[in-house]
Amino acid sequence: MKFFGGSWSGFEKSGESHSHPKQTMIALSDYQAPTMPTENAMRRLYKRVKQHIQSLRKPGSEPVLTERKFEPATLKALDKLAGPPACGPLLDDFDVALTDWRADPAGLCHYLVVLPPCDPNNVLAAWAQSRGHALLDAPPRHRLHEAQPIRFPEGDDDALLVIPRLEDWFLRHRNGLASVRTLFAELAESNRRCLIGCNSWAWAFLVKSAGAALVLPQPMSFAPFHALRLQQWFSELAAQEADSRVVFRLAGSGADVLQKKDDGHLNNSYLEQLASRSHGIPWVAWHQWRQSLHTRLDAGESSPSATENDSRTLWINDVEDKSRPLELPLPLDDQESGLLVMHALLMHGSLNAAELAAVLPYPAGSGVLAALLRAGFIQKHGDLLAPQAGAYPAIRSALKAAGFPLGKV
Amino acid sequence: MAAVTQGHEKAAQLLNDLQDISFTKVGLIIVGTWLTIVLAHKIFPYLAEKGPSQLRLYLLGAVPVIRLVLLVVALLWLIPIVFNITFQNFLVIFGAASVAIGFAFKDYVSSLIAGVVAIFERPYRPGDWIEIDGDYGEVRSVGMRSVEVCTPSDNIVYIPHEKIWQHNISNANDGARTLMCVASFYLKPAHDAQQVRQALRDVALTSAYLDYHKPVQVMLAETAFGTHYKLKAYPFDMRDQFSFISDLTIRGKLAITEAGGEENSVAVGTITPS
Repeated sequence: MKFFGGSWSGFEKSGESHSHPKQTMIALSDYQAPTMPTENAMRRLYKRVKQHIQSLRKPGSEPVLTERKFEPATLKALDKLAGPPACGPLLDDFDVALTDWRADPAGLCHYLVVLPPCDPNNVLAAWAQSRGHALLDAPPRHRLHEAQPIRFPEGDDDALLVIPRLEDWFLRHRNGLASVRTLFAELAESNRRCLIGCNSWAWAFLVKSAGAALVLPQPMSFAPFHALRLQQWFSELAAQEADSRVVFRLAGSGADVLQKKDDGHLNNSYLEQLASRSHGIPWVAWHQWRQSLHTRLDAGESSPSATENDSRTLWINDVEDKSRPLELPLPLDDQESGLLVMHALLMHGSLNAAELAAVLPYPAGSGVLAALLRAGFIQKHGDLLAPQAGAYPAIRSALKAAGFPLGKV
Repeated sequence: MAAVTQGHEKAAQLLNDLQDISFTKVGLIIVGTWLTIVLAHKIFPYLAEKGPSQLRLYLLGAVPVIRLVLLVVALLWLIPIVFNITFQNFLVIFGAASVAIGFAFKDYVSSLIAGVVAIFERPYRPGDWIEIDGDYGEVRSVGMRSVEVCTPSDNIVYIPHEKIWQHNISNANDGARTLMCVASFYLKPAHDAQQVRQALRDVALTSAYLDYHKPVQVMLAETAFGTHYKLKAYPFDMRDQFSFISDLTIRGKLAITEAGGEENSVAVGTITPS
């Protein structure tokens, strides 16, 4: 199992500290990423355009804080106010969904949860360990071509077995499907209750290449994280460590992004935009949230009323991450190579250089990998390359525009 | 003498009086139409290349339609400015034009009419991969008289539209974003065909260019040159067809060797497989 940052300690707290309503799982085909609020309401668009034009005309309508007056929050501060794990209340969703499934004797033996890629915490494995369930890990990648018989850990049919990452069971190579096919054959024969996790890009591949939908016909997914759910989660994260309420303000308007109106709706659309840009994926939203948090450079400077008690205020520069280009930072000739690399990494979760070369039609030049690393599209941990969670929306958009087959989530 | 005068009067009536014709307006209509067509020819292909691949074919296909609409509008606008339109005049113009076309511009007009038919029947659109009379390539643009095709060797071939009257047109994708690619392998007959077939299928299924929504097939037949395997699959973008076929061929050769097959070789130039 591979972990890219974060800690497991946060998983044990789950279910005790979260007070928000728990969500059940939904069918994968029903997953609809939150839309931009402007797409839903033309009236709102008109209102915004009007407000924008008015603000252009209004004297003194410059941002409360300009970019030069703040800096990214330190890692220590971020861990206090938006600490790992990045999965939020998702673990509670697993508990609710699996309790219903296990209580249903007529239900299918195998429960498949299709998760978005870039999961930094290996959330299903961590959940299974924290709940004491048996885990079945994939063989090492260099042995995936061997169709070795698979031994399930000891336990009766009702003892839950968790196979956390189906993407670790194959390599997109002509000889890389043997293990996953053997696993599917075993699952088809077995009556043991199995909870299986798979990332959505790997699932799309396995449905085509290994007939996965025949063995696991009802893929489920978590409900997308909308703005209100993000608000509850981020509020709880900030409240866990801070002794007084921390205020998260937009640098442009000074508005408190976590504040709600009397009718329960959010005061501004920042979290709606964040939910939309993150496709409703908690860890993507979490990364983008952390990347956007800034502190003031000079707290002593005279400030507008919105910045009162500045030490307890964090500033959000923009929902758009200006530090990351939306287009690939590659010359036109290398664009295809970059896209092939990112598609392979999304499908497999993470790969070392040799594995990456094996799954690509031609080796990606070291310059391509260096450019993608530099631009923050991918990250390197040890010898493993993986896509950056915060860059997932940009990567997905680039692959979609180029016509690549996509994961549902 | 009276008949000659009458003829002159009729001819004079065919055209509006010169002082009534606004040459500025005529010039503006012609220049405006030409400019808009040129812009459409530049902007739409640019957007098609830069925008999402799902929209590419729609944007490319819009160019000839826009040009046709603009030309018709400009013509309908110009005629009343220049000509004195009556039923009699219409017959005179139509008759004269028919004679001229019949003798001098028969082939040209045949291509023009075929061009209009091609816009509506759509046997080919910009972005399609077609073969007409032995020329295979991507349709770059559909002009008034001819279609511009770019071959895999990067040669530009101009094919007059009138070919659609006499020749078959083979369209590999017919407006879709993908097309079937075939990689061929000739093997010596002594091998485990089941194993080779499965190995080749896995080659296609694990290709980085594969379109997941289309089928993968491996077909084989015994021929004079050995066992002929055809690996048929679709790339997610037809522009990758040659990369896809190369990928299938390279990895297919390795897979065949691993599966115990041996490729058959025929001396180059001796026999051409059908």
